[in-house]
Amino acid sequence: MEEVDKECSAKNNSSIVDESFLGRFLSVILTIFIGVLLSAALFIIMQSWEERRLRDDFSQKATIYTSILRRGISRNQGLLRSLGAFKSSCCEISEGKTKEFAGEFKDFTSCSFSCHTEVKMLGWVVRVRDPARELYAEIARNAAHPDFMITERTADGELVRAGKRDEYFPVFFMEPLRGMKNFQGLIL
Amino acid sequence: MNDPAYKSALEYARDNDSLASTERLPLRGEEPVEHGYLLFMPLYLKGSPRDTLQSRRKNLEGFVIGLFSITEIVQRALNSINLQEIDVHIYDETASGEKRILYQSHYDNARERPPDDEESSILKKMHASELIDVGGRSWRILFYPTQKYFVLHENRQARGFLILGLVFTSIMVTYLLVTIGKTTYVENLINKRTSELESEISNHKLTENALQESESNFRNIFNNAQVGLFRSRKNDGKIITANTRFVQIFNYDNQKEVIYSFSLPNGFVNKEEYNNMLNELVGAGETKNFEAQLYKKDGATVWTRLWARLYPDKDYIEGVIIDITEEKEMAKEYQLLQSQLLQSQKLESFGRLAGGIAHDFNNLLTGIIGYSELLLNELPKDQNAWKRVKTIEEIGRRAGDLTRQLLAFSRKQILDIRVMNLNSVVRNMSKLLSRVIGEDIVLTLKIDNATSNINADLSQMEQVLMNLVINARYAMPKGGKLTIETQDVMFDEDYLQSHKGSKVGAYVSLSISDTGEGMTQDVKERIFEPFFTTKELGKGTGLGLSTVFGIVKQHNGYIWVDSDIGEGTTFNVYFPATQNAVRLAPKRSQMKMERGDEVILVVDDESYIRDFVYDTLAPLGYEVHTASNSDEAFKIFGELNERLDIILADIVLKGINGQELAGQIKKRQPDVKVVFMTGYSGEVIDKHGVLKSGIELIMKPLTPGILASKIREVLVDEKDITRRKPPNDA
Repeated sequence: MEEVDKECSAKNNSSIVDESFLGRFLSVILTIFIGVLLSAALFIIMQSWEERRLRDDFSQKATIYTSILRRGISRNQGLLRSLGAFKSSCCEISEGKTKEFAGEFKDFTSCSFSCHTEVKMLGWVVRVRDPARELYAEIARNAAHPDFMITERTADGELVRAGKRDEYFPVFFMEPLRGMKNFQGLIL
Repeated sequence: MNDPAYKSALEYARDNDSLASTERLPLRGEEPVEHGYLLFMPLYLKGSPRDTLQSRRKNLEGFVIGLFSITEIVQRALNSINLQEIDVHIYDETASGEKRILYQSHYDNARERPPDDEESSILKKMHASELIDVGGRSWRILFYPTQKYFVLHENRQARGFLILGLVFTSIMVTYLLVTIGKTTYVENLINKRTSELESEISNHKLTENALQESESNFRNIFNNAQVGLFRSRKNDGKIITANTRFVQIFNYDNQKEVIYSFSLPNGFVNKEEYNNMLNELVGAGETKNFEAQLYKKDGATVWTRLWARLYPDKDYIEGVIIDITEEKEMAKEYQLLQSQLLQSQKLESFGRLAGGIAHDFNNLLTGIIGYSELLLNELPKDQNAWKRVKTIEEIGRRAGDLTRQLLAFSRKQILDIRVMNLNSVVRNMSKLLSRVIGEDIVLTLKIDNATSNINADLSQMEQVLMNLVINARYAMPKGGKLTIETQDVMFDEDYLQSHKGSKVGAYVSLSISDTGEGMTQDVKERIFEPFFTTKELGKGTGLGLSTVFGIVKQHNGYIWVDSDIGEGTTFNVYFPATQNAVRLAPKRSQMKMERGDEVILVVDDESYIRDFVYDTLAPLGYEVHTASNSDEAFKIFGELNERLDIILADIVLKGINGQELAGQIKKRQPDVKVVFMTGYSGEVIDKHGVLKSGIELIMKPLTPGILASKIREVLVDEKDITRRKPPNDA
C-alpha cells in the first residue's frame, strides 16, 4: 500500500514537474514572442514615423529650396524690369543723348553686377528697321563703341556683318563688355 | 530675330509683353560646364498701345536682356539652405534633349539619377519635385536624397527601440530563465527538503507515536497510581493537575472539579498545619511524611500523608498524597487493642498471680479449715475452745471466698455450665437484692419476658448480678434509682465498629443502671483491675468488678460501662444467646462423712495436707497411704500390688506432676480411680471453665465433709457402674 502511495506520489510529482516545466517555458516563449512582436511593432511604427518625418523634412527642405530659388529668379527678373523701367524713363535714342544714356546704363548695371554674381550680362536690344541701320550704327559708334557694327554669326560661328533684313534686333548696349564683346552688335 | 534659340524667346516676350527666357546657353565650355539663360523683357514705345498682339508687335521698341548663370542661381539658393545630402536636378521641361538639363548636383557621385528611371521605392517615395516658371519656360526641380542623407538620417531611433525591445526581451527571458533556474533549483531543494521533511515527519510520527504511547503509559501510571498525585500553585495552593486517586481521596466527581474547587489552604482542617508545611517547603524545598487532616468535598475529613516538593523556579508544588484514614483508624484501633492487650496482659498477670496465690493459699486454708473442722468435731460445742476453733474456721472460709474471687477474676473457676434464663436469675434474686441496696434506692426491673436463654453457671451469674448491684449501691450513697434490665440484642457489623473486640451474633443483655455520681475516664479505665477500689480503706476488697469481669469473660460475654460524671453509670453485660431449652441443675448430694474400706494413695508435697487427708479418711475405715512426690507414690503403688482403689493427688507436684503420675498408674492398673486436688484449677479446665473429661477434681481448701463425700461419690459411682463391688469386698 505504501509503495502504491509512493508511486502515485512520484507520478503526481512528475506530472507537477512537467506542467511546471511547460508553464515556465511557456512563459519564456510568450515573453520572447511578445517581446519580439512588440519590438518589431515598435520598430515598424518608429520607422514609419521616422520615414514620415524624414519625408516631411525632405519635402520641407525641397519646398524651402524651391522658394529660395524662385525668389532668386524673381529677383533677377525684377532686376530686368528695373532696367526696362530705367530705359523707358530715358530719352529716345538720338545722336546727342545716346552717349549720355550709355554712361547712365553703365552706372545702373555696375551695381547689379556687384550685388548679383549670377548676372553675367545686361543689355539693351534695339529694334532697328533696315533703313535706320546705319543711323543706329553711327549713333552707337559715336556714343560708346567706335567699332560698332550689326553682326550675325555664321553657321561656323564666325561673326560677320549682318545681312539685309527688314528689321534687326542688335545688342545696342551691353555690360560688361569684357569677355562679351562679340555680343556687341550681334543680332539676336 | 536670327538665332532660333533667341528667336522664340524674343517673339514670346514681344507677343505676350512678358519676360521670356531662352533655353540653356553655355557660359563656359570647359569643365565645370556652366550654363545660363537669357531673359528678355520687351520694351514698347512710350505711350503706344500694347493690348493686342498687333499693337505689341507694331510698337515694340526693343528688349532689355539679361544673361544669368543657372549654376550660380542654384548655388546662391543652396547657400541659403543646407542641401548637401540632397541632389538637386533642374530640368527645362520646355527644352528637349541635352538642353533639358539645366543643373545637376552630384554629391553622390556614385550614382546618376535619371529622373524617371529606376528608383528604389524608398527613393521614389523620398524624391520631391517642384515646377517653376522662368520667363515662359517650365523648370522642373527634382530633389533626391543621397545615401549620405540616409546615413545621416538613419532610422536609429526605431532600431534603437527594436534593439532596446529585443534587449529588454532578452533581459526578460534571461531573467525568466534565471528565475526558472532558481525556481527549479528551489523546487528541487523543496522536493529534496520535502522528501527529507516527509522522512522527518515519518520519523517524527514514529517518535510522536512512541511519545504518545509513553505519554499514555505515564498518564495511565499517573491516573492509575494508587497514591494521589497533584501539582498546585505555590501562591494560592490551587490544584493544577491531579490524578484519579487524588479525586477519589477527596470524593470529587472528576479532575476538573478538583481543579476548580480544591485548594490546599482551604483543604486543610488545621490551617496552621498548612502554613507549617508551606514553611517547610520554602525552607527545605520538600516535605516528607507530612500528616494532616483535610476536608473532602462533602465536608468529611480524611487523614492524609504528604510528600511534596517546591519548585521555586516554576512556582508550583508537586506532591504525593495518600489516604491514611484507615491506617489512622487501625493505629487507633491498634492503640486500643494494644491498650486492651496491655490491660488483658495486666489482668492475665493478675490472674496468674491470683492463681498462684490461690494455690498456695488454698493449701494453707486446707490445713486451717480442715483441721478446724476436725477439731470442731472433736470438741464439745459449749467449750470456749470450740468457739475459738469455729472462729478460725470461719476466718478460713472467708479467706477461701477471697481466693475464689481471685480465681473467678483469673477465669480459672470450674463452671457448671447449664442452659438458663437470666430473667429467672434476676427475679429469684430481686428480693435479696432489694435488701442489699437498702430502702433509699428504688429497684426497677425491666425484664423482657422473651429474653433468650444463655449457657452459664448459675452461681456465677448470681455473683455477677450481686457484685454489680453492690457496686451501684455504693455509687448512690444518698439514694437513687437502680434499674435492672434484660433484653435480647443483636450485634451487627455497625455495632462491632463501636465495640471493638465483640463478635457478630445474638446476645442477651443484662444492664444495671444507677443514678449515682458517675465515673471519670481514669476510673473507668481501671475499674476492672483487681484490688482497684474507690471505696474508703477497709470498705472494699477491690475484687468485685474484677470478679464480674472474669466471670463474664469466662462465659464468652462482654461487659461495657457507660458513665459520665453526674449522670450515673450503666453496666451492660452481654452473654451469647442460645436456642437450647433451660435444663434444671441436679440437686447436690448431701455432704456426709461416709465410711469406706478402699485403699487410698494420697500424694501431695505438703505434709499437712497429707496428714489432714489421712486424719480425715483413716478414721472412716479407708486404708490411707501417703506420698510426698511421684517417686514415692510409684514405690507405694508397687508395694500395694494392684490393691489400690483410688489416687488422691495434688495436680501440682515437684518432678512428675499429678496428672502424669495418675496416667502411669492407670496404665498399670486401669481400674484405679483418680481424684485430683488443687487450689488452682487452670491445669484441668478448658478455656470455657469446664472440667476436662474423665477428671474428678476436688478444690482446695479441703474440708473433711467435702473430702469424704467426694471420695465416697467417686468410689460408689465406679462400683455401681463398673465393678459393682461392695464396700466390704476389700
